[in-house]
Parts: sequence; C-alpha cells; structure tokens
Amino acid sequence: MSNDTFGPDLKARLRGELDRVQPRFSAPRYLSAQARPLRLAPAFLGASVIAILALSAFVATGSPNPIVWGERVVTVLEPIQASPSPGPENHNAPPAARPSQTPERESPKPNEGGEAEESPAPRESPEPSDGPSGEGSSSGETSSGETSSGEGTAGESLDDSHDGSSGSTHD
Amino acid sequence: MSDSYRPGSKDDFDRLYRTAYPRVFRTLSAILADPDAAEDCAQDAFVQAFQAWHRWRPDAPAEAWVHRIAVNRAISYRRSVRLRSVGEMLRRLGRPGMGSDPADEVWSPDVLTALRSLPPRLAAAIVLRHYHGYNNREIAAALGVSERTIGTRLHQAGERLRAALEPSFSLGGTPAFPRDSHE
Repeated sequence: MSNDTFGPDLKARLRGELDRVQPRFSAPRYLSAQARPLRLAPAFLGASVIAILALSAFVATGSPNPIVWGERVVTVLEPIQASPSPGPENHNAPPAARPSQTPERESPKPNEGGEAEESPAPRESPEPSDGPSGEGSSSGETSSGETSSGEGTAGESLDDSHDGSSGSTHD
Repeated sequence: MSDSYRPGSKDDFDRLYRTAYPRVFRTLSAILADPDAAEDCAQDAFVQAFQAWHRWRPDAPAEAWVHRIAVNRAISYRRSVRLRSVGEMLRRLGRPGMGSDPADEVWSPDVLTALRSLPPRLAAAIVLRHYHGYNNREIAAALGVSERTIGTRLHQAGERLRAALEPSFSLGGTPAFPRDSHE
C-alpha cells in the first residue's frame, strides 16, 4: 500500500540525500553519564558524615534541636578549658606567684604554732578590716624583711666568698 | 538487526551503539534537518537507552527500541523549537518580517526539506521503511503503535510527501539562479 504512494524515484532520492549525511561520531555521552554516580560520591560522603554527626549529637543530648547540641558542646568544652588553665598560669608566672606564696608559708613560722592554726579562720570571715588584716600585714612586713635580709646576707656572703677567693687567687 | 543482545550488558550496548548510532543519526537528520540537533538528540537517546538497558526485553529489536526513544526525543525537541519560534514571532510582531535565507533554501535537499514539513511520526515512518528497510512490525515496535496504524501512516506520509515535492518535480531541471543563465 505504502509502496504505491512512495514510488521508486522518491525512494532513490531519499536514499541518496540521507547517504550524503555524515554521522558525527563524537564521544558517546552515555559513557560520561555512567560515571555520574562517582561524581556525586564526595557529596554523598559529606552528607552521610553530617548525618552521623547529627545522629550522635541527638543520642548524646536527647534533643533534636541543634541549638541544644551547641549548648551541650559549650558546657562540655568550658570545664576542659578551665581545668588546664591554672597549670600554665603557675608555669608562666613563677616569679609573681612564689613571693606571695612563700611569705604566707613562712609567716606562721615567726609566730607561734597556736596562732598559725587560728589565723585561717579570720581570713574566711567576710570582714577583712579586723585583726586578720593586721596580722597579715605584719606577717607580710616581717616576711618581706626576712626574705630581703636573707637574700642580702646570702648575696653578701657570696660576694665575700667570690671576693675572697678572687683576692686569694689574684694574690 | 537480528543480533542478539543481552539486557544490562555494557559490551552489548557498546556494540549496539556502534551499529545503530549512524542509522539513528540519519533518521533524526531526516526528521529535524539539523545535524547539530540530530546529534544532540541521538546522544540523549542513547543515554536514556543506556539507563534503561537492563529493562530492555529481547522480544523487541534493540535498534527499533533505541529508534523509539530517539524519535520521541526528536518530537519533544521539535515541539520546544516550535514553541520558541512562536515566542520569537510574538516578539517580532509589528516589525517587518524577516524571510528565510535563499542560500539555505538552495542548499537544503528537497526530500529532507519536505520530510521536515511532515509530522515527526510520519517522517520517521517514511525513513524507517524506505531508508532503513524496516518492516511494518519493526516500525510498529519503533514507534509504539500497531502495525495497522503504521500502514495508514505510511500511506498518508507518502501522499503528503509527494504533494510537497510536486512543484520541484514540475520545475525539474531549472537552475538554482535563473539570472545567471541570462548573463
């Protein structure tokens, strides 16, 4: 039926014109489409990591609210930051801390033992203007005097020894 | 065409691509009359076919199956081009109309130009039958219609194509540039 309407002349012309059409052999696009899942792999990996983190945060806090997760992180991290801080301060400022600690420890020594045991009680009281302040100030003065004199004597003795030794060697 | 392919096998799909791509490209060239668009649609069709390759059933010819995907792709492409041209026409409304370039009309082959004026399904039936040598059953598988419908479509397409080509038949051996003959 169709061959009657579409004669051999038309068929020959169609064949000739389509034979002149040269197919373009570019790279098969389906091969690149095949590799698309691998391209999405990093995104999938990142999404899965985020999902695992969110799930673990939900399990740890018991709340699906991300704000609560943030608060929990702050409360967990703050004590960790606070605990190591005294150590570095002691290490960083030894000259300032040692003079203040040594007089306190040395201050009871000049006084008698009974007064040394009683002295901590007034310090805990909220009124610093009473006796403890006077005791503290007196102890501080005495301690500073002792330390300075001690250092001076030690220095003098060292200087004397150096001088004596040097004098003896030179002589 | 009677080659045996295994659904889902990449090697078999590569073989199908090597065999069928030139034929699919020519079919789409006849429908679209634009090599760039034909290549684009053919490549898209093979991507689509590759994604559905594991679902292909060997009872239908593989090349006809790819042709079906490609013709549908060409139909949607022509539809989008038509919508775009309507938009362009509405934009140019009121301005002096721009005629087509006469050089293009001379360059375009007559039968392919006439095929382009037909609905894509009729043009595809013509090419599959009279260029690729498909029988009605294979065309029916390629276009997703019954064999009886294919017979009707081929008859209609042949008549419309002949009617579109009648002026060129009557002009027969006239030169492309009549003024040159006078000089």
